[in-house]
Amino acid sequence: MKRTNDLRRQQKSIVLAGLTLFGLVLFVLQLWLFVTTLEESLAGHVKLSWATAFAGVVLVAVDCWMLNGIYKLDRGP
Amino acid sequence: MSTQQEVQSDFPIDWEEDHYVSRRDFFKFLTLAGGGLAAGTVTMAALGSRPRSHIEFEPKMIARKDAVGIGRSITFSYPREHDICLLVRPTENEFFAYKQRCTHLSCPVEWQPERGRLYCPCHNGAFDIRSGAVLQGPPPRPLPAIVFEMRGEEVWATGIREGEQA
Repeated sequence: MKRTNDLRRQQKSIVLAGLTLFGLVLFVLQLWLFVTTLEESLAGHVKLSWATAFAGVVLVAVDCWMLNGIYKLDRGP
Repeated sequence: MSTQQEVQSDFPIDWEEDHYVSRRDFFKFLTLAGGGLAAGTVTMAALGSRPRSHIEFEPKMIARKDAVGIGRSITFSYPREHDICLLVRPTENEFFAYKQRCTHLSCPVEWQPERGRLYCPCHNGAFDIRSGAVLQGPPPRPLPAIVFEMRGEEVWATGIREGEQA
């Protein structure tokens, strides 16, 4: 039983590390989208700036979904 | 816990006593920061969508109509001494005025009467004489137009209108 718990704990740790790394990648993407939106809106390219803003919101939604998953992971068996 | 104890807990002298941010807290922080960035991008896009403003300045006489020959152009300063602008007269009854600085890297644009456009020789940028819109090259936005009015035989500048991207 103890061995099963250890294995599960180890598995959770790996999943958490993976999610954190993916979250970091998403954060870097969001920084890039932020700068791109700034450049495009200054240049007057309205459609492109709204597209990048929309992509930023989608990335936050993915972040929230992953955070929810992490909490569920903590509550799980 | 007193303030001193809190400070000692947050900034311990011994390395072993320090506590680190857990991966969950770190992810929470990432999500919060990402949310802030997304709010920033949406705000930026909304600000960029507003119509470009028309800024009024003190009216100034640019030139007399007959000082600009048909198919010719003259330069003038507006609204400040170092803001060089271009007044173009493509046909007898048409006048157009724009800032002379290219919206790419601020090189001075020149009037090309044979092609009916304003041309930037630095990087082959070109602007439409009637709207100021970008026709070719790297300029990211149209030339700001000088708003003017005819007062008898004189041309008077009254403001600047930022160009809309087509």
